[in-house]
Amino acid sequence: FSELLMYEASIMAEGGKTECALDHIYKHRAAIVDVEAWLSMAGDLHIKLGQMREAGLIFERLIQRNPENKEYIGQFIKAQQPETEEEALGVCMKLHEKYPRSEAVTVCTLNMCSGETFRAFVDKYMQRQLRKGVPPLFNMLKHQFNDADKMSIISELVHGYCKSLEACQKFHSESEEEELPTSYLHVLIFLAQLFDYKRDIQEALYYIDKAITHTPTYIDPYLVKGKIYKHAGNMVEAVHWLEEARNLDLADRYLNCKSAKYLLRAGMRERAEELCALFTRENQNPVDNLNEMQCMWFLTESANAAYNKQDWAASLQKCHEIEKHFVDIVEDQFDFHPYSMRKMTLRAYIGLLKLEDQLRGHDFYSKGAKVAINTYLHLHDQPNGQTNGHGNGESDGLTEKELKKQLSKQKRAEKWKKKQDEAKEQQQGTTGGKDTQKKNTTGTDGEVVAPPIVGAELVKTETPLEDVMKFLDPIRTLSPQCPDTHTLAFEVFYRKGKILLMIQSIKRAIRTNPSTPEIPLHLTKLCDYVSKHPESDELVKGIIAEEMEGLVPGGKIAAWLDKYAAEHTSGLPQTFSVGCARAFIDSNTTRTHLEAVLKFDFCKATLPSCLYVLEKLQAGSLKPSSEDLALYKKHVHQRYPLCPSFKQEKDIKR
Amino acid sequence: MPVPKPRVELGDLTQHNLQQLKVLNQVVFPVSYNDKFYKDVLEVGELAKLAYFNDIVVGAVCCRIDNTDGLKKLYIMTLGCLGPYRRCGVGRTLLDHLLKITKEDGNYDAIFLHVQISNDEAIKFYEKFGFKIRDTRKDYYKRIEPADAYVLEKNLRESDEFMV
Repeated sequence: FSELLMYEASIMAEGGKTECALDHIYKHRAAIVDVEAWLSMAGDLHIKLGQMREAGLIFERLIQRNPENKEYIGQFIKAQQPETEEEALGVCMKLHEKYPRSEAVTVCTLNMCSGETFRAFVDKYMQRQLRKGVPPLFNMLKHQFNDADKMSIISELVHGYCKSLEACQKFHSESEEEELPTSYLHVLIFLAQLFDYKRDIQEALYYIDKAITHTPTYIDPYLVKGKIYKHAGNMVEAVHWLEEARNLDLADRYLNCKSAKYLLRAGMRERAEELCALFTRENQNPVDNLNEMQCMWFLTESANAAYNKQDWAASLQKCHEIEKHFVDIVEDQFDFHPYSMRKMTLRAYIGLLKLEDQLRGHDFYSKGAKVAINTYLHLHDQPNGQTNGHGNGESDGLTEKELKKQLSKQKRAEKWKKKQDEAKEQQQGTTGGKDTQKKNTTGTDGEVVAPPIVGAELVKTETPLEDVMKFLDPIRTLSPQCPDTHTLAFEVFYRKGKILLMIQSIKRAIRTNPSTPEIPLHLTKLCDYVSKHPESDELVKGIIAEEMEGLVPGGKIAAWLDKYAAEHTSGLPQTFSVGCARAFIDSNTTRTHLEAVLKFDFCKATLPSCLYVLEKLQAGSLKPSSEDLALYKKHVHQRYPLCPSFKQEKDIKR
Repeated sequence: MPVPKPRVELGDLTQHNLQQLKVLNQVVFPVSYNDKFYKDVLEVGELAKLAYFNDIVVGAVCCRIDNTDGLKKLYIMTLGCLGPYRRCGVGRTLLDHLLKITKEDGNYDAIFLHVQISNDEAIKFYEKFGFKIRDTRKDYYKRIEPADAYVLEKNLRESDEFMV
């Protein structure tokens, strides 16, 4: 009954009848058993109605119940109606005094302070955490780095600790007591993470090596070292360090999973599967077990790894597995319907329905979807399994092997199911008359086994552009804030020839992030397409003309490109894209643009952007010769010596 | 904020954390131990322990039972602690643990070990617990200098008679 009352109140609140809702819950206070929910709702409603004093009292009680809840803290501060930032800070400080151990309060206070107060506060906080040896300290303070001042304060303080500890084992020379050796260790690790954040690889490695030499039995420094190498672009080295960490504690599943993830990133798929087998159910293929458990990270990472090796069949299979899991999760809500009717868990049920509507907006889905879309684009462009310039020419043979593997897996799965059915039948004493040879077997409990997803079959699709919409539509609706969604959408619509959708994609991409590197090339292609395919329908023609005018005034794409280039001189991928666009317009100038890219000042380019351009060059954009490629690699190698992608062929040792 | 007291705790050696012991021994001792050593050490139960300082492995001890001349002695094969963490009570905790075992068992005659003659710090440490230098073994170590080692022994029997 109490649940029903709360449900009624929540409907009123959603419907905008705030006063009614508030009166309702006060009236039935005695009957409502879920005290926390009552307080929470009452507080929110008071704030909506502007009744700050009551709200303040309520939230104070709520914070007392749970000082870690960010929402309560936020609402409490709102209820105090602070006039200035100083007052807000004062409120936070008082809260902090009352609840010194609360992480949420500390974070709130850190966000509000600045300057000297920040320095004093963070000094005390860091000393305590470093002394105790709290591993996530860096991750917590990372959010403060958006403010350059705060970052330099923290950096200064920690460097100070380091020197002071080396000299006299204290955090500051004026501190009273000496610190334990573990404090120094954690300071070193923190400094390594700090330099890694700034991508100063040499310094980061210096400090982390110091940490490892100090205490070689501590696992965290190895993880950090692996991460540093990951950021430097050398996955093989990163894997080596993750394995060192993992071997120190073979019983730790987190280390096992992290190691497997790094192996997948490095492209070592078999080794990753072997590793996962250590922690999955016995007598079952580890990949199947992880699939059954809906282990999303494994699927997304596998899909990526397969895609990078140009194993289209495997990558498609993984993406479809991810899609299947999401379908399963969506179908689960049907199970809840009768349940929540019986148990009256109405508010939770409504919450679930809302979640399910947004489900495919989750990162896991968009990661899988992107791989799927890229794979389908490749299948469309090269339908006979031909590969790019540098890829291995064995993908055809692989798909055959894959097909055999899939079939044998299927047979194994069927045999296993058959055995189960037979065992059940024997137990029940029924005579075996069922034909369990079909793919869609029906077990004795009436369950239907769905046909397994076979990558090799998916790859043979005649309609990749239709299949891709299954992945494209959800992310366009639910992940519009990510510019990749729109660039991928453009690529698909360009191949389909849907002008209006192309325009929409570009506009959205520009709106999300005008510096997205694909924009110049896409815009150029669009202009070209529009001029080559005049629309017959008058209405549509008018819209297209209007939109194009808005995007590229006067149809002067060259001028637009110049302006864009001027705005993005320090961006390597943008410069590259402008070069590609100009080469598209006039292919005689390809050489000039290629040389412009080669002459780029790589000190300004980040590692991911260098890799992005490398990938495009190797795929054939701007038609580089092998000497050009070698030259590009050489230039980037000087800037990023640790990344193996840029080493010359003869220099690669591993 | 006062500095919290260091917490030294002992933990069991398992096949999952064996690597920790290997890394520790590699760093702390100038001699290396072969695979058989690490295989055997998993079987000795309480005679091999890892020492944790604020939940990080910083030290370890590995022993075996020695039965010669009709006497039962405890032989310490390795007892060590990482450099930065010395003089924090780690060694003491490890040795106290061994003394407790021998006391509870009641049948041990002595505890003994080898120490490189140049290792003054170690000699002083053991002398504090009542160990005495009994003997010198020339050329005990194969690949390090000085190659000689002292035999340090602590007699566990009440009587003061030296057992040879």
